[in-house]
Parts: sequence; structure tokens; C-alpha cells
Amino acid sequence: MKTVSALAILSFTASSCGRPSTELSVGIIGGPGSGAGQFATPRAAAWDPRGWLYVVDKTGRVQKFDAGGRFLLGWTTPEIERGRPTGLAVDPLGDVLVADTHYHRILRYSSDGRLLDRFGSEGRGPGQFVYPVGLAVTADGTIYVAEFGGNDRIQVFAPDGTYRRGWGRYGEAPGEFKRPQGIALGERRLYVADAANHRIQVFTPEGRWIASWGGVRYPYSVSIDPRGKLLVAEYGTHRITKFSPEGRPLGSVGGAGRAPGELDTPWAAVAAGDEVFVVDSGNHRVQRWPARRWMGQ
Amino acid sequence: MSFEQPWALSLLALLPLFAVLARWSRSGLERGRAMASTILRTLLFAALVLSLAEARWISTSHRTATMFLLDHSLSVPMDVQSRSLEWVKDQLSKLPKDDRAGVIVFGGESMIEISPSDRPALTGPHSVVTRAATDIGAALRLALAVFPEGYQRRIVLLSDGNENRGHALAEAELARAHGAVIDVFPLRYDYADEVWVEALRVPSNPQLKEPFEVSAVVNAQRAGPARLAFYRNGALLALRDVELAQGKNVFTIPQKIEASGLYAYQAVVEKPGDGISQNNEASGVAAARGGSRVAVIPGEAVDAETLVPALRQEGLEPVVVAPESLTGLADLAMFDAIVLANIEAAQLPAGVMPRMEAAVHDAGVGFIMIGGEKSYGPGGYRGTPIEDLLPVTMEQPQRRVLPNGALCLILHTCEIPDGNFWAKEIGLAALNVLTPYDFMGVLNYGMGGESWVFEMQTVTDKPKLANLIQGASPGDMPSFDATLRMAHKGLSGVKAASKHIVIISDADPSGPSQDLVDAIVADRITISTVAIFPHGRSDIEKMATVAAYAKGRFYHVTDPSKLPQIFTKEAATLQRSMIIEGTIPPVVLARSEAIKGIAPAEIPPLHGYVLTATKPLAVTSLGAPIAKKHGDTEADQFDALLVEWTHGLGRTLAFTSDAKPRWAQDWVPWEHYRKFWSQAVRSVLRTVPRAPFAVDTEIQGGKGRIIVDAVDEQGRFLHTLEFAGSVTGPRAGKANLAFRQTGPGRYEAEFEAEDPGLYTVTASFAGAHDEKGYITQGVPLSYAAEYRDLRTNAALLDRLRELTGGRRLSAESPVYAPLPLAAGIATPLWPFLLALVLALFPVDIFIRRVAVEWKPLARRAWTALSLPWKRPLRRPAEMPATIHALARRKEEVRVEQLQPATTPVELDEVAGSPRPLAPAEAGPKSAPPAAATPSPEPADEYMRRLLEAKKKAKEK
Repeated sequence: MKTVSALAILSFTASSCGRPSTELSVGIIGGPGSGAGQFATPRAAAWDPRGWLYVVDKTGRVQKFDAGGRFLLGWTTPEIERGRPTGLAVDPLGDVLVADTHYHRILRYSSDGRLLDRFGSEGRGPGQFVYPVGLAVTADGTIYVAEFGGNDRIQVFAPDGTYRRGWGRYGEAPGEFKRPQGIALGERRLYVADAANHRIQVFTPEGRWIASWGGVRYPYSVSIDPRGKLLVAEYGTHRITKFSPEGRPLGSVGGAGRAPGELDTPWAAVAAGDEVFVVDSGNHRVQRWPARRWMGQ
Repeated sequence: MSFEQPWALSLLALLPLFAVLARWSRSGLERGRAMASTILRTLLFAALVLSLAEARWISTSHRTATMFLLDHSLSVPMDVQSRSLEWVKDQLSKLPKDDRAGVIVFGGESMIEISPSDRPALTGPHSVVTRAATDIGAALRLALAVFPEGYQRRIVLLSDGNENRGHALAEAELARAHGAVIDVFPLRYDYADEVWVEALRVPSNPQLKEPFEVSAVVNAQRAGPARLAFYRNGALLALRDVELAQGKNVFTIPQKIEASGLYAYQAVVEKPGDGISQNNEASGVAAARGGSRVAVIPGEAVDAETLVPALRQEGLEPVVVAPESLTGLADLAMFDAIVLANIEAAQLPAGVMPRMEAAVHDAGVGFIMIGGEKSYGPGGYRGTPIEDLLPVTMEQPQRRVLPNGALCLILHTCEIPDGNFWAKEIGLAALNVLTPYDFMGVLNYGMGGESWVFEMQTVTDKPKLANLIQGASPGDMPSFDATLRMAHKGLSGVKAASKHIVIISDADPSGPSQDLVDAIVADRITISTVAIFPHGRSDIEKMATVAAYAKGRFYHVTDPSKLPQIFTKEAATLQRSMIIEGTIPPVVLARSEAIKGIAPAEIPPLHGYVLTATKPLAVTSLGAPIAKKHGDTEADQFDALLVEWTHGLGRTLAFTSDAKPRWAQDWVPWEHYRKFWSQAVRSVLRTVPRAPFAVDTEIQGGKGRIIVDAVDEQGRFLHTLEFAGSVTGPRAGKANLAFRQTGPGRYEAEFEAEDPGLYTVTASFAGAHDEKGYITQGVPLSYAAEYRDLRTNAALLDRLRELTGGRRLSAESPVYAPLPLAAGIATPLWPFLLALVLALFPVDIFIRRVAVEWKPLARRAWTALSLPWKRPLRRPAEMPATIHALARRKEEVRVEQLQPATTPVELDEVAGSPRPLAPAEAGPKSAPPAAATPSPEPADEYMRRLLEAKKKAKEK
């Protein structure tokens, strides 16, 4: 009888361990739907240090939230018939840059959703785009754009959208890209999530290749936290992985699932102070994680 | 309390046995402890069982979740939709605290606009739904699926109630079972001046040069002038200014057809003030016939250019029919025979093959398939209704070992509407075409990344592979590189003569590397690409470039319904190995009408044919000799060239070579070429007469009805007829009809008719007095039901609310009134029960292992709790005897351990090495230990002696 009791307890405990546990420290913003504050496959996010989070989803809506995840306002990009935007960034003035991927252009909005400017057109020449996806902006307003669809390169623009330089092409060699989906600017470094090569590449802001490392599966975004660490959203493993600036892995969090803390094809993770906003695309939500989720790993 | 796994409660039946076992295994425990242990263990067991049963505590809640269901179908005018949207926005702003609300937008399908939220804000609608249909049932089902736990459930349905898809009442029953209440807000509108063409009546088979009438039934809500136009084959036939009366109006034009052929009629009405333009036209087809009519449908003109004149010269009346013209042709049974001449299955419009099969089976139409490189297996006919009706199958004969093919599909369909549905249709279409000797594999991007739906394997178990395809759920693929690499590896691992990859995508994944495509091409693997709803020019270029480079084909598809045909065609390219070419002298194996009067020696050689397998009941009259193998029967020595049999009422014939100057290059100039083909066609011509019965069909409310008035030539009703027939619709395949007699000589049957398109009814009959014949009738459903239902269906809406105890709302009604039933909140108890088990388990061990003397313990506890001044001084004498003795013995042992040995210590002992045991009397060294008295010798003296002994040992 002792054996039976022990087995029963062990088996029951084991079966209980398989259940997803709710992590109280994880916050959920939105849910499936097209209502205010809800998402239909969100695919990019940007954090404005003034305390605002912007998210764009597959309805073509850019939605603005406060730091607590409260919906403030939203707007839709001018055309959505051919496809929806997949990249966002905030410039030093607080304007919102939108990579209007399927219209091959960059849109600039004020923080209250007024369309201010647009630049770029479809093509393979300098200043033109095929599928712009990744955006990063320096403190002086210089704009870095990553694109794929055959171009697979990084282009640099002046704050007013004037083309300055560019580098990269489709391929696997250092400095070449296969779907550079996300970019982030660190201390004299540009990090590129080279998605279909399953690696992160590091460049100087001028475009000189410095290093690259793998160990990731379809990295779709890269973001830099206040301590200079890299947060990489892995679309292929449903995880967010933290790296040192040199590429040393510091831990992964997430995993496939629907429970809070679990992810389905995350497109982006954005560091915001002591928190990280994770664009949990397949679950139609944004998760707010404390940065300490990676501690101890 | 409720249980998720109630079966586990059956374990409670073991409780008595458990108690008996516990009693039996007391192991000498005293009665009280044994009983306590038994009770505790029973409790533990019960808690475990309840945990396994996933017990839940049910409490109640008065919070409410409200789902607003917004009807966005075309039947609801835009201004009414806008007003209903504003009303919902207003209601959302009034949502009571602690309640939740959400919005679903529906038409032919349903989408969540806002999932249930405590602060819903409607900015859209952003959801895009099919507006050409109304499926209230699907919207109700979706609402039930998204209600949060622990809330009362209210559905507010804003609709005109004109459902033309699904079953709202059945879903309302389900809603009631789930405790949901349906409040309805009828959307009322008034198409005050709407006009629509209800039907265009065209006789299916008018006689040549005989007058007949074409009638347009025009419905008007208000009387007034209108303009009505009739067209024939696109040319204006008549334009009339007419005065419409309120209700139905019938306008007729006289017609006469001079030459046989197909005539498409169209009627269009225009009226000032009309709202919906989509329902202003209707069409119908007439097939005028002279003598025996034969429809020849060639793949290309060359496939029929020698055959048709030959038939005509022999007195037949062949009509060359372009495959695309079959789309609007309801009545294939108007022909006495149909000849497919080297045409691919993919060239035939959707729905034509089931109609052909029905025409042959139920109306006795003759059928011939003439071979060629695009016919039979290579033409993609495997698994189609045409294969059913033919006397041969597309399988290769058992005795033939042919080069096989390998097909790998890469599915990226998540970006197209109903993407998963189309992925399945595509996979099944391709699977259908392949033989058991072929290989197939399917790749997609799932939750685990790039993965095989099933790896490359022979298509021996089609149902299993079909199930795997049905279960696939392709996700958004980031890059073609990895899947193409997997496909390359998979195809490299199989032995097949031809290897082919087909990619379907919206083309936005990152492209494959040149090296990879080079490697694939180097391995003689071809790639076809299908771009569906690509995002732009560069996507199209990318897909087209890959296909051109890898020697495949490129398709740019805007209509998903074309996809299965494309995949049938692509899979059929692997069947090229079934084409046999060379000089083939046909051998007469059996008598046939086709070769009647032709001496076997006169038959010239053929130069190619397609391999098929003769069906068991079919007769092969011409064969192609093949090399004889040991053990072959006579039948095994020939491949089929000319095979015949009967399918239902129709006669069908398969000729596996062609009829043009390619494989039949010696036949075309042959003197008996005309004779052979005219005899072949005549041998299958229909013999069943067409019944002169009045046949009427109508479609209303998603149901079609066929009414046959059977009257003989003397005007007498025919009462004893047995009808058997079928209907073929625009989407679904063939469905059998159940006819019943509803009056004197009147027979009726019903069928489902929800999708716009052509419905063809074909039926044959036999009577007790040798009456026999067939009837056939086509009826087009010209436009979606959305354009026909122009009034609110309040009756359905009322029924829905009555079923669930709901209310009828108006713009002023308060939505958030209290609901009669409180919602149940289920709290899982298993964590608490498991914690209880873990807490009680050590207690059980304690009870069984530790004997506690409760009386002394209680006394001591009492003493400890007593006030200090009342506490007696502790005296050793008052110690219990047992404790006292224990303390004394403990002291003795301690002294013994401290007592040094009185004899010198052996080195072995000091060094810790084992010393042989010696009996006590062995010598002075083994003197008995000193008395258990405390030694006066100080510790340093003891250490000194030890060191001396060690020294002595070293000297030795």
C-alpha cells in the first residue's frame, strides 16, 4: 500500500508539472481582435523613452499605449491592400517611423498619428526598397533601414530621408544577408538579426563587418536593454534570448505555448527600462516581462 | 462540485478493500494507532482520487459578458450597417463595471472584431468577411467559443435574419445548452424600389427551325417603367421599354434557331431608383439539335481537326465545344455522345466532370476518351469522375514496371483567405493523381519550424496521407531556403525517374540561394512555382525566375478555386512514363462495333499510346502486343488500345492512342479511318429516349426542387415510374436525388442549392409497362441569395430569441439588463487536494512509526502550561522508572568510552588497521576491559603512552 500511495503521488505530481503555470509577473496587453488595444497578429513594436509603446499589427494599425499597457490612440497606414507594415522605430523627436513593407517605403508619423512624411519607392537602386522591415534611429536622427526580397541590405538615411550609404547583399558570407529582419544600434555598433542565416551580425555604424554569431533560429528582431545586453526574438524557437554585446548567450525565456510567459512566433522584443515588451504575434498579444526573467540563467 | 475526469471516481470503489488491507497490515500496532492510521490513509486515498477526477468547486457570478454580432452581409444596406455600428459603439461605451463585451462581424464567415474586454473600444470594423452570404449559425458558434469563463453569457444579434448558409436554430440550441441568452436587434430596411430578374427560362433542347420562347421573370417592389434587354451569345437580341407591375412580371421573346449549337441567353433589367445592381440579370443556355449530336472537346484544335470532318462525312453531327464554354452549359445530356480528344483534366472547368459522369450514368449519354500525351494518367484523370465512367483505370498494369515519379509540395498558404482549406485541397488533388509507385512528400512551416507534413514516401496508403494533409496547418514561412533544402534532400533520397517540386506561396518569404537552386537543377529536379496573391511585382518576378531556371512552370493565381486543377496538372506531369511510343501493330482481341467490317490485317500500325489498366468487366477489342514473360496469360500479352463497357445507362469507350497525325499518322490517311471512328461513335450513342415530360426546377431559400409531370402521348398520367438520378452543383460533386410521387403523374425531388452557379438534374426512369427514358434540366443560380432576400426575416430572429429566453431590442432598449441565470465559476480543487495529501503523508508515517505515551505527555504538557508558582520542583525520584533507567545506562556507557586501556595499545590498533579478533583467554594482551569507573589518569598521560607505543613499533 505504501508503494501504491507513493506511486500515485509521484505520478500525479508529474502530470501536474506538465500544466502551464501562470506567471504572475508577466503582463498581457491586448488579445485577438481588431478593437482598440487588441491585435490581429502584431508584428513590430517600438518604445519611446517618454513612456509610450507603439505596436503595428496585420490590420495595418499602429496603436499607442502608455507604459502600463493602456491604449491611448491608434491609426491605420494609408494603404493596406498589398500588405501591412512590419517595422517600427521612434526617432529622437518622438516621431514614429513605420516600415511600410509591402509598399516599399518608410512613413513618418507624429506621436499623435499625423502622417508627416514618407520616403522610398520600390526598386533596387540606392534609396529604393524591396520589403523594408527593420528600422533603427541614432540619437542624431540618422535612420537605418534593413530590407529583404532580393535587396537584402542595410541602407542609411539622413533624418530627412536623404540617402547616405548602404551595404550588403543576398548571401551567407560575412556582411551578406538573408532576410535581415531586425536591426538595433548599440555603442558604436549596429546589430542585425540576419533571420534566414540564423545569426546576428555586428557592424560599425559605417558598415564595416565586425563579428557574427549563430545559435539562434530565425531571429526576427534585436533590441538593446539599458545594460547594453541584446534581446533577440527568435521566431523559429518561440523564445527571447539575451546575449552579451560580444555574443555570449545569457539565457532564453519563452517557449511555444499560449500561457502567459509562453510565445507563438514572436516577431519582436523591445527593451523598455526594467521591462521588456514581447510581440507575441501568433497569440495576438504583447507581453510585458520584467527584465529579471533572464536572471539566473 | 463537478469533475473533469469523472471516470476516476470509480476508484473510490476500492475504498472498502483499502480499509480491509489497512486492517490486515497493522503489524502489531495498538488499536488506537491502527485506527488513526486507517482513517488517515482512507482520507489520503480519497483525496488522491478526487485530484485525479479533477474536482472543481462551482460558485456563481453575476458578471456578464456580452458579444455583439454584427451582420455585414450584402443584404443589409450600408446605411443600416453604419447605424448598427454606431449603436454598438454607444452600447460599448455604457458597459457596466466588472462586465465584459466584444464584437463579432459576420457575413458568410465570422471574425472577432473585439474579443471580450472590460474596456472595449470599437474603431473599425477592421475585420474583412465574405459579404455574399449570411451564416448566423457560425457567428453564434464563434461567440460561444470566445465567452470568458465565469461570466453570464449574452449574445446581441444585429441582423436581418436572412441566413443562407449554416443553421442558426441548431446553434441557438447549443447556445441555450451553454446558458447563453440571444437578444436580437432586427435590422430593418426598405428596398422601396428594388427590381430583380428572378429567372430566365430557356428551353434546354429546342428543335432546329422550330419556334420557342425565352421568358424573363422580373420582380419589382414598385410599379414603374423599366428597360429590359435580351442578349444571345453576347449580341443584343431585343431592347424593350416595359411597364413593370408590382410583383412578378413575365416578358417573353419568340426565338427560332436555324443552326445547331449552343446559345447563351441573358436578360438584363434597369429601372430608375433600383438599389442593388447585382441581381438585375440572369442567364440560361439552349442547345439546339438536329440529328445525333456529338460533342467533341479537344485539348487543342489539332486534336480534332481530322476527326470532326471524318465524323461529319459519315453522317454524324459533331460539334466542337471549347472547354471553357462548358462552364455555363447545364445540360450535357443534350448530347448523344461526348468525345474528349487529348484534353487535360485541368482544362475542364470545375464541376464539369461530375456533370459528364451524371449525363452518362443517368441519361445514357455515350462517352469516348481519345488518347494522347494529355489524356488518361498523364492528363490528370486519376481519381476523377471520368475515371469512374471509363472502362479503364489510370493505374499502370500490374505486369508493367514503369519509371515512377517523386513529387514534393512546399505549402505556404497561410497568407491567403481560407489558406488552410486550400492547402488541403491542393495536397489532396496532387495525392489523387499519383500512383502507388510514385513518391510524395509535403513540407510546410509549422510551430516547430520547417517540417514535413509527411516525408517522401510511396503513395501506397492514400487515406493515411490524406489524413496527414487534412491535419496540416501551414504557418508563415520566413524563407524558402530551408524548405527547399529539405525537399532537395528528401528527393535525393528516393529512387524515381522524375522528381518535381511545387511551391505555393504569396511569395514574400526570403528567396532560395542560387547555389541551392543550382544543386537542385543539377540533380535533374524540376521546380514549379505558384504565386497566389503576391504582394507585388518583385514577388512575381522572383517566383517566375525560379520556375524558369528550374525548368518548371509558373502560375500567377488570383482565384484560389483554380489551385486544385493546377496541382492536378503538376502531379500529372510525373505520369509521362505511362506514354509508350514506337511502332505498334494493333491486334484484334474481341469483336467490336468500332472495327466491324474491317479486316484485322488492314489495320495500320499506331505509333504510341497511354498505358491504362482494363477494368474487370470491360472488353478489350484492340490490343498492343508486348513482350511475353514467363507465366503471362494471353490477356497479359497486350496493353489496351480499344476498350468498351457500360456505365449506368451509358456506353463508354476508351481509345488509348490518338486520332491525329502523330501516333495515328498511319491511320489518318487510312481508308477506314472514317469508318472506324464513325462506328466507334455510333456504338456509344444514346439509345434511351428523352422523355417528353414537363420538367420544372426552382431554387428558393438554399433549396432546389425538381418537379416532373409525367404524362404519356395520350395525355394519361404515369403513376408507376421509378426515378433514379442525381444533381451536380457548382461546388459540391454529384448528389443522388430521392424522387417521390406527390400527385397524379407528378414526381418531385429536393436538393441543396446554396452556392451561386449551375445546377444540373439528370434522372432516368422505368415504369411497370416498359416505359423508360431520361430527363435532364439545368437551372442557374445567377446571383447570391443575399441579393434575393430583400426583407427582414423577423420570424427567424424571434425564434432564436425565444429558444434562449432573449429579448427583441430596439435602439432605445437597455442592453445590459440583468440575466436570469447566474454564471458558474469553476475553481479547480486538485492543487489543494494534492497539498493535503503531501501534508498528511508524513503524519501517517509518524503515527505508524512513533509510539507516543499520551498520558505522560499530557501531564507534562499540563505542567508546562501551569503557572510557575504552581509548578512543583523537579526531582529525580519523580522521573518515570523507564526514563530513569535509560539515563543511568547512558551515563555508564559514556564513562566506558572515556576509560583508557590498562594494557599497551597495539600498533595496528593505533594505525587503524584491522586487528584479528582473538578470544579473551588468548593472553594478557586481551585482558578484559577495566571496570566502568571514571579513570583518574589525565588525558596527556594517555597521549604520552600512545606516542610511546608508536615509537616502539617503529623500532621494530
